[in-house]
Amino acid sequence: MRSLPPRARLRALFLFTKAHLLEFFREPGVVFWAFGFPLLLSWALGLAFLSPKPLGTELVVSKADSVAVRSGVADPSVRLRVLEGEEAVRALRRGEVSGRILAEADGIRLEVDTASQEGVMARLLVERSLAGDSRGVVVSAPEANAGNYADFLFPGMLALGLMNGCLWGIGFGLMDLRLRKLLRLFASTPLSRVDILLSVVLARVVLLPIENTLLWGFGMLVFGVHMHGSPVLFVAVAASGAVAFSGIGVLAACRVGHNQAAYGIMNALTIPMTIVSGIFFSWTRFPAWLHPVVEWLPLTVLADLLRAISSEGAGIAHSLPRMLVLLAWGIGCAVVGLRAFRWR
Amino acid sequence: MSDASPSIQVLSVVKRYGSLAAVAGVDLSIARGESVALLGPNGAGKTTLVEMIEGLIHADEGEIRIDGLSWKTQAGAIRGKLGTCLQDAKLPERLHVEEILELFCSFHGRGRDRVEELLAMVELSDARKQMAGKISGGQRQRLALATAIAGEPDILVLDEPTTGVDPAARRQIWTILEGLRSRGATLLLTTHFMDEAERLCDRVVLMEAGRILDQGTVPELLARGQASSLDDLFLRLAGRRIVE
Repeated sequence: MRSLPPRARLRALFLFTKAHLLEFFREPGVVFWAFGFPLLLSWALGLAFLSPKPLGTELVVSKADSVAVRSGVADPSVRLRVLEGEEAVRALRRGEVSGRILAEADGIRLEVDTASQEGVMARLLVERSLAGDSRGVVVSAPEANAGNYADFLFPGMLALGLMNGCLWGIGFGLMDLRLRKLLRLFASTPLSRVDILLSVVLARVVLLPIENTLLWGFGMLVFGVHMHGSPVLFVAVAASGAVAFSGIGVLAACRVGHNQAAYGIMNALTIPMTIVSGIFFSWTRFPAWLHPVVEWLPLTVLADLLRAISSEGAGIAHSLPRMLVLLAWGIGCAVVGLRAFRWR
Repeated sequence: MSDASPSIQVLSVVKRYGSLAAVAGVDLSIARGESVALLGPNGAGKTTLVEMIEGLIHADEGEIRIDGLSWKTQAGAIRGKLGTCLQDAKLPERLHVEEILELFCSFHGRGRDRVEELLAMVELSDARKQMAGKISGGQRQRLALATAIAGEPDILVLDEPTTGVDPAARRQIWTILEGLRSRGATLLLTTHFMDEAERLCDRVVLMEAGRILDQGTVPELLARGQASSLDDLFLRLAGRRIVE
């Protein structure tokens, strides 16, 4: 090919660049994923980590000990939540507080997981607050099964794995089939459309138990994760979660016809829920006005329920209403998604 | 259905996208065993019409009947009769050639014997263990054709079946299609290659702006259009569209 004169080449380069920009700005979905989504995500992260709440630590204390503890620990960065018995244990298990503080005859006892960043922070702040107190601080590990971060983390990780497995495996899988025109090709064969979708779901059904058994087994063997509730109920809840995210995956995939939009929509679904649904830290740390939304997100419901069964031994009476919420998410989204589904 | 009913019947079909009528009232009838080429410049409405014939999109007005059956009520039966070869479809790249054929044969309830027949027919026996993503463009196109005829369809709809392949591979595909014609299959193909239309088809349908402009055998069209070749006729059609 003959090379263009410099002036013509510059013009071609300009027009080609302009054409790319026009293509970009004429696709509202792409514009949103490029500009809007990062802003929304930054906002959500800001809420979590830059909230006006004072920095510090929050510890659970019994009413009987609260006066004695407050007299010793006056530092405002050490916040105390007065809770008794089961409520206190639940707050510890759910990671809503960093540990427990007790007033004893010979001083202050602090029960924190010193292997976690939050536990170390709580210890430092309490020790600083009691610097002039000759009685000192006795630090001990939390009671067995109370406030163990692994017990908090692994049910959440399992829920996260179910979400990612279903959304990427089914949702993105269907988008990818459409983008490669395979969905259209398969739809033109005698194979029923229900079977086409079912084949994608079934492939995931085979993979999910393997993925999750490996994850849970790893947690039990390496971190001593506990299972206080019924393993059968735990599996049933995980299956309800898989139904929820499969339905959401079908809805997410129903009309996407652009590669960038496919990645954008998947990230928009998975990243915010990963952050706000209490996988790595309790979702109660977000501002209270956000709680009514966050607590009904499918990942929140699933993670909290798996945690309640494995850590607190929650039974069917506690689990059933939440399982119905998960099934409603899945069936509702699947119905809407299938009605709007585009095969080409 | 009786043998008298046409293989493909398009009855006053309209398809709109917003204010644009991609197909603006088309009537077309293709007899059993007939081979028809759909020609027209880009944007003429060929692919939209083909997609409606394939049952992938629905007409806003009118009706399409395949072998006398309606897409509205007998879609399942139609899919068993219809083989489709889509433009630019990317077959699963990480499956072996024979695995893909096995998959498509299974959609038609056919087994290994059909896979062997197809491999021989499209001359891919030596490539049976190769991944679809690793074979040449010509091989890939023959593989796509093999998936379309996996169920031995009576009617074959091919959207630009030889686009992007070299002349040798194109001729190989023509030979396969001629074999299917000789066995009585009905062919409807869209193409930009005039020699392909002339060689493979009994009749050519010219489309422009969502309408059928003219149709007939190649000599009839050339006579009516006062053109020396289909290329000439096509260029006039495309040129007029550009001027408009």
